[in-house]
Amino acid sequence: MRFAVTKVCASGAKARAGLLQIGSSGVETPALLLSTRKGLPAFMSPDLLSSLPLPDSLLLNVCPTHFIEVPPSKTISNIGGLHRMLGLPDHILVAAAGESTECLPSSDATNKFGASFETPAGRKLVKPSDYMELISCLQPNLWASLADEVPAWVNEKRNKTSVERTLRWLDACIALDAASGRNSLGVVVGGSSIEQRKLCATEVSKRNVSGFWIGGFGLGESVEERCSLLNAVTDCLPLEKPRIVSRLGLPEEVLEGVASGIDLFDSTYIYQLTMGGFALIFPIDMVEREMQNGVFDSSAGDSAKINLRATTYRKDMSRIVDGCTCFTCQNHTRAYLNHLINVHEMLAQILLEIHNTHHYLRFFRSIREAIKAGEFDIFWKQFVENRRSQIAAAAIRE
Amino acid sequence: MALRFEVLGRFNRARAARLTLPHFTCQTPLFMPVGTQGTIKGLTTDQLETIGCQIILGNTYHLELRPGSQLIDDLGGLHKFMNWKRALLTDSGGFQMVSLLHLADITEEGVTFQSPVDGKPMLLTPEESINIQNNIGADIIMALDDVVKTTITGPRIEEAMYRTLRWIDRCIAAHKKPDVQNLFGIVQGGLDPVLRDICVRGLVERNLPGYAIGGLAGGEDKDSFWRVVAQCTAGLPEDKPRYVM
Repeated sequence: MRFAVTKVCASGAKARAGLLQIGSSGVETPALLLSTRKGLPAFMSPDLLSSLPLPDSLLLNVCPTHFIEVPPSKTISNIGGLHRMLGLPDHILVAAAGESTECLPSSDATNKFGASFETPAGRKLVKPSDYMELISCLQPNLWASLADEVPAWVNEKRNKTSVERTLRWLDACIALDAASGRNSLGVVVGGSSIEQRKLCATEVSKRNVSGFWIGGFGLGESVEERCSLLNAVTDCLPLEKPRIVSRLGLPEEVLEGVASGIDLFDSTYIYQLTMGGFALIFPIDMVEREMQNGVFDSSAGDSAKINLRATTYRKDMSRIVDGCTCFTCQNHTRAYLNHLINVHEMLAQILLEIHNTHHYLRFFRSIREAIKAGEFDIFWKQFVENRRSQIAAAAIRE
Repeated sequence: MALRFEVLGRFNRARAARLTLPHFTCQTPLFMPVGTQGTIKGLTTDQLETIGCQIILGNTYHLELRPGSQLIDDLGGLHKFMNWKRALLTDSGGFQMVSLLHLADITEEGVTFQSPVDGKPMLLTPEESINIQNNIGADIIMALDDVVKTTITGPRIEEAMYRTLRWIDRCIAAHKKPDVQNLFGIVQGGLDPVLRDICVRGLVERNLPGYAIGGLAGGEDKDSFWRVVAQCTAGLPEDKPRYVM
């Protein structure tokens, strides 16, 4: 794995563009890791996945705890690893133990032996040795160490313990790794304590890791604290290694993360939108935003997304987004999607996931363009202001 | 007639043929997947084309319920609504009525049933079924028939067969788009060869674009099943497509 920062924002800002190279695949950052269930996106089959923008859509987040019972890790090992089992040899699989939809960290049950997760197979305690066995069978390109992620409301003592455990388990995972941590991502936790966050980040930086996985966010902290916590962490991390943050998925959260020096984002935002029947429509780049100003239909949704379940779309023969080049927008109408959602047909989620993924990958692309053009600050400011004025205009119209 | 049917090869009674429909030229024998609510479950139209799917069935009952055949017609027909460029076939809606709904009752007028939306009594007549199918716009539409299971016995089977013949005339009269949609008649008569023969002759007299053999696969044993199919195909015209439902 090779990572290089290719462009840094001027004037003290921390946003940066980079290039992540794994094998023959190279992906520019900031980038999005697509969330998966058992290795594939929730609704897209591999052939549909391959019609998404490349190389952006090569990055997949996989969760080893999805494979805790079925299929047995030995089977995956015999097949030759997860890439071979999925039939996705060129994809970049980044593994992390917990995620937000099916393998939630269960910090109450976590103890000194291992991290506990609520999985579809019940609550499981995962020790570093269990975790590394899964990792060695799955053979992802990159893997985050086993961590003790705790919600923001735990007491100081519990928070401190989570940092100690996370560091201990990081060392244990590296020791158990045949490649001695060459493809590892050290997890940084620390909850809502700036001090603990800094301590953890500094300690993890000392280990032989390829990058950093910043966890423990999206678990109850306020938006205001998150910003300072995130920056406290990135200030303590070396510049030349990639930083991934999980559970920050909203457009504004992504922009804040980029501004703090984050390179990769792992979130289930697309999955949650899709499950709710929402389709992303927010304008991607600055030109589109100019054009959209003052011309907006706020019914059934907001300026970022529409809820295709709403009756207003029953006869709407327009595309989700005019000019979008995804399969869904090239082939289908809002009316058809409205029908599919309302009759509970699974094609609805497939088509929505395709569009939402496509749209969101384009958003990340425009962030990268803005950074490379030295215009990230303007881009960010304009995006937030545009959102505010849309919401205000909609409120006035009510 | 809005189709062309050419037999290209034979083996005993089996035939390979080319069926040219308004939206697509199909090669038969073919398997027609069921796309109940205007979609094949979990597959995109692209994937279906790649697999080699030539024609899909849409359920008239379900589509009339949601999103409604009038809406489909307003938006240009089912092909346009679901963006399926190949062929479509719709059934009459009768079977779902009888099998899905409480208090379904068949009279000479049509099928009375309890609306699944508000429980009010509703009536599906041959005219209404054809009207709905005209709105949906499939290449092949099915006549409303009086279908009985092969496992029942008694005068009901004969009643159903004769009613099916009376209803086909009403379907033909109600059909507004014979130049772009092909109305297929359905042979009934249970497992009784005499009744089946009368029904085949009656339908063939009406000179329809194609014929289906209905009322089977409802519990009878395989030996009875193929015997009825063989008898019907022997009596149906060679130069028209046959559909076993």
